[in-house]
Amino acid sequence: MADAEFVVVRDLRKVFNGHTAVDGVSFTIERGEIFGLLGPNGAGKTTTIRMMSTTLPISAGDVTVAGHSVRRKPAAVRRHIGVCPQELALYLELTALDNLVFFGRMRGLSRREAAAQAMENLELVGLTDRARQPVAKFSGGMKRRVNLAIALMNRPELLFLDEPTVGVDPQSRNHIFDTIEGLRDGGMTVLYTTHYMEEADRLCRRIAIMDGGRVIALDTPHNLKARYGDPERVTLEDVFLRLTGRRLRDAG
Amino acid sequence: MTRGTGSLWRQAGLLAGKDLKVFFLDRGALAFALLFPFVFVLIFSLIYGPSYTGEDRALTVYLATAEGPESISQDVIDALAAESRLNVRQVDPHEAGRALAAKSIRGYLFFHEGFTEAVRAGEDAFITVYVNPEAQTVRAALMSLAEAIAAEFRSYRVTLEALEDLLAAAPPGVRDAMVKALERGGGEGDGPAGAGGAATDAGPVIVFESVGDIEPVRTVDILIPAYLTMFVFFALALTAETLIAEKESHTLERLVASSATRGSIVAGKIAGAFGRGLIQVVVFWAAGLLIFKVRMGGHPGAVILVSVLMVLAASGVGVFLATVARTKKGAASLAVFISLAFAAFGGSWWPLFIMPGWLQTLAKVTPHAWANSAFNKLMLFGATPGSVLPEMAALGFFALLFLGLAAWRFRLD
Ligand SMILES: Nc1ncnc2c1ncn2[C@@H]1O[C@H](COP(=O)(O)OP(=O)(O)O)[C@@H](O)[C@H]1O
Ligand SMILES: [Mg+2]
Repeated sequence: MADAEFVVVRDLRKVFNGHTAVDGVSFTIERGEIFGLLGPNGAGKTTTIRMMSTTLPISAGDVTVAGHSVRRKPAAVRRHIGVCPQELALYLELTALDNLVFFGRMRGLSRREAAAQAMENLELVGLTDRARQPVAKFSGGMKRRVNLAIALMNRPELLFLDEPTVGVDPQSRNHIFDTIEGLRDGGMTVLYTTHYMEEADRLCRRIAIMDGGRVIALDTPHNLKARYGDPERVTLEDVFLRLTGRRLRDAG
Repeated sequence: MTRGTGSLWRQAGLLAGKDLKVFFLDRGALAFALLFPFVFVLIFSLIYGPSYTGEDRALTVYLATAEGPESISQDVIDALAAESRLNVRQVDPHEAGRALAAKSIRGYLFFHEGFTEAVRAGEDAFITVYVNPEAQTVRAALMSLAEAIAAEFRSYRVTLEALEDLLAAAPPGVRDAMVKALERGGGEGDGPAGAGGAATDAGPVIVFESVGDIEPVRTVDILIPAYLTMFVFFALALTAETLIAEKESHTLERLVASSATRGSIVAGKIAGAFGRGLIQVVVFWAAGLLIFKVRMGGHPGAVILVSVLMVLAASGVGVFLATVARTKKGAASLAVFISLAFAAFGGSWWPLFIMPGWLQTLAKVTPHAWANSAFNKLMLFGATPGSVLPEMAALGFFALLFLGLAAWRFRLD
C-alpha cells in the first residue's frame, strides 16, 4: 500500500429505504494530509464518514484503510482509526478524564497507559484543569474538545472529524484548529468535514465538494479558486456557491 | 498502535464497570434503587404491625393418618413428633375433621389409606392439607411441611434407584459384598439420606433436620424479600435506559468504532445490570439483618442463592426490554408498568399465600411469584433448600429465557 493510497474510497453508495444518500463517491487520501469533505447540509458527508469508519453498513462499493477493506476486515480498520462524530458522543455523568480513560481502555490500552494518554490529550485540547469535572458541567465548546480528545485515544493513524467546530465559540474553534494542525505535523492523516469554507481553506491540503450524494469537485483550495478567477481574490465560499447553487438546505 | 483490544470479557467488564460508576454518581438512581424501598418497608410494617396475622402463640401442627401403626405414614408422624423444635400432635382423622368444622383447630395434614404401599411401589402417594380458609399462615405452614415430606421421599427414591442401577452393574462378588454392607448399615440406623434420621425396619428413612421453628409470621420477614424482588425488577428501568442511552447519546456508535463487538456490549450491559442487582441484594439483606432484625430461616445461603437467581432473571428482563423499546421514555414506562404489574401479581405487595388458589397458579407466570414463594418458604416456614429447588429452577429458567432473548434481539443500529 503506497502512502498516496493510504485511504481509498471506491464507488461508495448508501441507500436508506429507497433514498440514495451517497451516490457513487470515490477519492483517495494520502498519508499525512488533511483532506476536506465539504458540502451543504444533507450532501452525504456524515453518511460517507460513518461508512468509512465501519459504523454504518455499506450498500455498494468499498473503502480500504491501510490496505484493509472496511467490508471484509472492519476489525483491522478500527485499529487504525479514531472517530470524532458530528454529534457529541460522551458520558455526561463521567468526568472528562474518565471518558477518555474508558474509551482508551476499550481500544486496548492498559489502565496506566490510558490514564497517561488521557492527560496528554486533555492538555492538547486545553482542558487539563477541568480533567476531573463531570462533562455535564462543560460549555458546548469544551464538550466538543472532549469529543475530539476521545477520538485521539490510542493514537489513531487516521482521524475522522465530522464538523468538529459546530456551535463552538471562537476561542475553542481556534484551539481545535491548532490541535488538528499539530496532529497533522505529527504525521496523522485527517478527514475533515465542515460547511465553513474558511476553515477548509485554512486547514485542508485538498478538498472534495459534495452535493446530492456525489463529489462534484476535488482539488486543492488554490486550484478550485483559480477555476473562477484570481485565487487571491476569489474565496472558497464563492466556489462553493457557484458549484452548489444558492438553494437553501435544511436536511441532514 | 495495531495491538488487539482484548477479549470479549475484558470489554464487557469495562462497560459494566462504567455503568456501575455512572450508577454510583447518579443520586436519583441510588435513592430509587437502594433507599426508596425501605420507605415502603417502614410504611407497611407500620400498617401491618410487627406480626402479620397477629398470632402470637407457636403453631401446633396436627397430623392424621388413615393407616395403622406399622405404616410409613405413622413413621413420618413419629419422626416429626420426635423433632423437639416442632409442636406436633397426632389426631384421629375423624376427630380432626370434626375439630376443623367446629373451628377448634385451624388445619391438619392427612395421610391417605394406602400411602405405605404407594411409596413402596414407587407410585404417587397422597398427603392432603385440610385448612380453615381464613388461616393463611397455617395453610402455608402445612403446605410447606407437606412439600418437605414429599421432597424427602423424592430424593430417597432417586438414591434408591441409583443404588439399584449400581448394584445391577456390579460384578456378582462385589454385589454380594455391597448388599451385605448395606444391610449391616441399615440395621445400625444410618439411612441413605444421611445423619440425624430415625430408622425404621420396613420403610424409608425420613430426615427432618431442617424443618425449623414455626412461629408467628413477622411482617418484616415478608416485606424485606418482597420489596427486594420488587425493587430489583424496578431497577430494570435503569438497565433498559442505560442501553438505550448509549444509542441516543451516540456513544454506542463510538463503542463500535472503538472495536467493541455486539457480544461484548450485550454481555457488558447484562453484567452491569447484574452487578447493580447484587448491590441491591447486599444492601437489602445487610439493612434487613442489622436494622429490621430479619430472620432468614435455617438456610441463609439458600435465601442468598434465590436472591442472586432473581437478580439474574431481572437483568435478562432489563436488557430484553431495551431491545423492545425505542426511546428512553418508552423503556422507562414499559419497565415501570411491567415491574408494578409483576409485583402486584407475583406477591410483592401482599403475600402469595393469602391469594386465592387460582390467582396463585396464574401468578407463576411472573418471576416474582417464584422468588417470593421461595423466600416465604425458607424464611417463614422453615423449608429446606431442597424443597425450593422448583422455585430456583424456575428463576434460572426465566434468567436463561430473557438473557437469550436479549442476546438474540440486540442490534447495534
Ligand atoms: N439513518 C438515516 N436514515 C435515513 N436517511 C438518512 C439517515 N442518515 C442520513 N440520512 C439522509 O441522508 C442524506 C445525507 O445525510 P448526511 O450524510 O447526514 O448529510 P451531511 O452530513 O452532509 O449533512 C440526508 O438526506 C439525510 O436525510
Ligand atoms: Mg453531517
